[in-house]
Amino acid sequence: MSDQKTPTKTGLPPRPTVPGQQGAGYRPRQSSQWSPGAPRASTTGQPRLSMSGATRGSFRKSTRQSNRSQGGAETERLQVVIDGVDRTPKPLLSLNPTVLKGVQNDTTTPNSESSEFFMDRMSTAAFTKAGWYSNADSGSHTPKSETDYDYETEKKDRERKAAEDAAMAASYGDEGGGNESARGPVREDEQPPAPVLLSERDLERSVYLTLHETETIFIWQAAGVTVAMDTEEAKAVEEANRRYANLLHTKQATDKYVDAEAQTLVALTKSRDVQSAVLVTRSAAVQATAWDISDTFRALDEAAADAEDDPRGGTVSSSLPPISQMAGGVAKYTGGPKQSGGDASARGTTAGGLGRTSMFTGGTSFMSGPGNQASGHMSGLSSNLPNGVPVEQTAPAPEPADPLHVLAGLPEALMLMDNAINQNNYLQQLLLYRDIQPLPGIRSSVANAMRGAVSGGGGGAGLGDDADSDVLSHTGGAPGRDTRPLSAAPSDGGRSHHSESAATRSGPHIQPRLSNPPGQLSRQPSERSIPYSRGMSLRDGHGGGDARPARHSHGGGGGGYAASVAESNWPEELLQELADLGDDAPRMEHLWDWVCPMTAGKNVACMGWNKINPDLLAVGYGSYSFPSGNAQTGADGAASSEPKGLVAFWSLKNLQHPLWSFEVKAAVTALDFSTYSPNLLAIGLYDGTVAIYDIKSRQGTPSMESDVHSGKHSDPVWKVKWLDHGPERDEPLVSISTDGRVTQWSIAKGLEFSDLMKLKRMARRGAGGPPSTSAATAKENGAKAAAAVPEQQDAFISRLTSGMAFDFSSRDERIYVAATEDGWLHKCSTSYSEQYLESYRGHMGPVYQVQFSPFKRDMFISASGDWTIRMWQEGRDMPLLTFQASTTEVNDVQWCPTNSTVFGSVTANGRLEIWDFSLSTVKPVMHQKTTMKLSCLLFAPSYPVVVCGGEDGAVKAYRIFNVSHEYDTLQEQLERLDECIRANVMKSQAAA
Amino acid sequence: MSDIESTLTRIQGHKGVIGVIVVNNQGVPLRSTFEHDAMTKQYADLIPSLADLARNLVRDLDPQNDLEFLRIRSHKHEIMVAAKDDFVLLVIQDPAASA
Repeated sequence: MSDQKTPTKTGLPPRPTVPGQQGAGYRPRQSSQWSPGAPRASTTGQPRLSMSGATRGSFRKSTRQSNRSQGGAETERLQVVIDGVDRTPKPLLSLNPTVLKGVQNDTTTPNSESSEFFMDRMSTAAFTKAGWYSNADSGSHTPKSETDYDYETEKKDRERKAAEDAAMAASYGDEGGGNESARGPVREDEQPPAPVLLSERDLERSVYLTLHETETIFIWQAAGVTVAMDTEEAKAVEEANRRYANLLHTKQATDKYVDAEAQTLVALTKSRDVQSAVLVTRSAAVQATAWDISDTFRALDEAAADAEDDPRGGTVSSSLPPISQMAGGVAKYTGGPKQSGGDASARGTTAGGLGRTSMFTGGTSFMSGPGNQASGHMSGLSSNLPNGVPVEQTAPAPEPADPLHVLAGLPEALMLMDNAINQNNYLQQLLLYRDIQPLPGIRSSVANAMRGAVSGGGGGAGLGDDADSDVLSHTGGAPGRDTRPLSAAPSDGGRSHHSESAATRSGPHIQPRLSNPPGQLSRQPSERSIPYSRGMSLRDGHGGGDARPARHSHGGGGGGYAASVAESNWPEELLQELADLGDDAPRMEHLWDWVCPMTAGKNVACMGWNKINPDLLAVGYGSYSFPSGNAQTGADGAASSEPKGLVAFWSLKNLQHPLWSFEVKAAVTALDFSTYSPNLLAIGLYDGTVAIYDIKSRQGTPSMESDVHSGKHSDPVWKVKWLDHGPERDEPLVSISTDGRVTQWSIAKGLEFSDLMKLKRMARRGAGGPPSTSAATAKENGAKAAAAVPEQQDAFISRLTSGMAFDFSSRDERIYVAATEDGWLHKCSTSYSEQYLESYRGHMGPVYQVQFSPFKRDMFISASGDWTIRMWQEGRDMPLLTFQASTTEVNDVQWCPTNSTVFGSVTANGRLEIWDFSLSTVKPVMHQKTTMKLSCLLFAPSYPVVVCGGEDGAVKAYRIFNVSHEYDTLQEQLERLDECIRANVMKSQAAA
Repeated sequence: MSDIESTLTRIQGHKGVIGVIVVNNQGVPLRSTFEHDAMTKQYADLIPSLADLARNLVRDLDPQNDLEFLRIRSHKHEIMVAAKDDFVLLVIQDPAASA
């Protein structure tokens, strides 16, 4: 029975069981020490290693034997010994006996056998801390300290609760005393076996389980030995092997051979939770506008195109703009060198250390070393002042790394700005030019007008707002205002026709323009806006644009007119008529000069409006100096030494700087824009060259040019003109030159020429006599030549005469009139190159200009060096009318496009004269005196403006008032013209 | 180079022009005719953002369109802005002086 009491001494520290110790009772076999195998009858229980290789744990034979001897009735404990061989079944499991608890000592349980059997089935690991302390000696088991601690504290609790248990423990004290003393005094307090009763508290107690790995125990270890066959050891090893094989062979036959099996547990699996840091997620969004995408793709396309063009692969990557740059348009100013990506790498080592890459350092990356250094310096400054004031950048010192020069588009922007400022400064003049009368206080009207002035050829739709233009907005509530023009004024936008000078008037001068006959009404309602759309329209051929009547009196008008009247000795009736007209008297006002330092001082030789964009005026300059007013031909010999000519393109956008200009090799003497290819400009040069420029390409080199092999004129070209034969037929160019040839040029295949006519010298009939003494005298002075002594008609030195001008009839496109230096006008046809159809005699000096009337198609006018202007009609070889206002030669004459009885002329002494022979044939109705010689004159096709140019290089623009009759129909214009001519011819005949 | 300089000079020579400023796309004034840096800085800070706004507006309406020019007419001045990718050119003019 002592077996049942021994468990009270469990929980003792592990120690090897002392063999033969009495009173130890049952000592459970330790799993670690027990091992199946051939047990060896040994009382020591010490582990032994057998040479057979089978492991042997310490087998407490003594305990079992003592058990058997003491309690043989316990069959469970029986050692089965059959024929001297221990056949006791081996437990499959062994438990640490200390792990189970709850065994009450006052009961008979747990008995050793059952507990052993039970424990044998238990995993030691699973019950290490279970608190089983029944009757097991821990033996050689080595529990961990914490295990013992838990267990022992638990024991103490139970000890206190069950005092009777202590007594029982004491009763066994003698028996276990020796053991306890041997095991150490530490365990003394454990000796009273606590009768464990699980209380409620116990159930709630936390039970700590610590799982740990058992120590690695080497049962047996044998390393393989390999020896060489030829050594001494080999024999011994072979012998050993042989013996071992022999042993194995014989072993199975022996009784000691036990075929044992072992069972293992399924490896336990654990599920393990791992805690990690919280995953942080971010969401990012990018917004791209439609134009960002558009730009990016366009840039990619361009880059791809560049890559194809550029075989050097290395530059492709740098030419690709970074996307951030493309998309950075919105946040461009928020700082940060967004464009530095590709640029910084391109800059390489030169300025790499300077850190921040501003845009202009990137731009200069292709420059050579010094430039890079300098730009790096600049970038350093800018990084120091990321948003601040400029310190040294603003220093206007033009260094090679001037940041302004790498700004793409800066020249264009500057040009735009220049135009804008110019338009601000010349707003009033531009409005006058456009015949727009703004209300000075209303900014919207100013803005509208500005838009009209600026947009030029562009905004036909916006300006052609006819819908409400027939509304007659009589401003009855403002009697002091100018109400006259409002009858015809459009009420739209800013084109209200309150005169800017209304305040200066003494009283309202009511003259509504309602006197027009009903036949005009079809035109009249949208009268005011027609010129705008007409200005835009190319195909609107007839009559050009109309200058509006502009019957608003201007503040300075009266004074200027009075001065001009007082200055001259005008005939009484004209003065009377003008006085009757009052404020409606014709007058003109200087608007501006188109001049810039580049053109100043050069002679304005010719001008031409662009046919499509009526705001574009091409001006040809030739700074040759005519020895005298009519000695143009006398300078022939000096052509080779002429300085270069210049062609400048002026527009209303910028009055102080031409849109473009280019130099040509000789003085420009004639130019004309093509009608159907408005970008083609034909120019005639003083050296006889005819050249065609494509002004759209902006190249200062001619697209086509005549040379000596292709019909180049040998003398100055005095007029070039594109012939308008309709859009279906090609547009030939005709030129006339001092060498006597009238030449037609075709640009269909290169510049091909054909001579229309060689102007042969005509013998003068009658008193005039031919100016045929010599070419030199004829060229010297027309007036003198006209007065020269008559000679024999056939004594010509030169068969050809010099052509000065021509004009084609609008009635028959084959008919033209050529003006010659010897004073003759010849009507010719392109069909006949040998003879004149008619010849008109009368001028006694070189005829500088001839032009058909835009209204009466068989009437033309000519200006001559004999101081006169003559009006001719086909079929009459004598002039209808002759005008002479001064004693200087008339250099140019032009019909007014809007009034059939008005033309303008310029004289060599600087007078710009506007004639209206319905008022007077003796004096011009108005004139402007300038200090320089004037050489050419043009009416603006769409506006009541006349421009003239002279030798100081300035093209002067004048607004003319009260001359145009644009509301008159063609029929009325013709009637007026016929009536005037009839009256004047009768008057002159009567005078004669 | 001379072209830019001459045009700049011409612009400055116009009647009523108070100042010309060229600001690069990082807001740094590259050129200014104002004597007072504060004025330059103020314009260079304020105008480009407005020009950007205007440009965005134009381009949002039509991606293939672009802002060409911006005029601000105030009681005292007219501020004219030409905004491009790389820079903003602005001119302050007194229209009364030019009229």
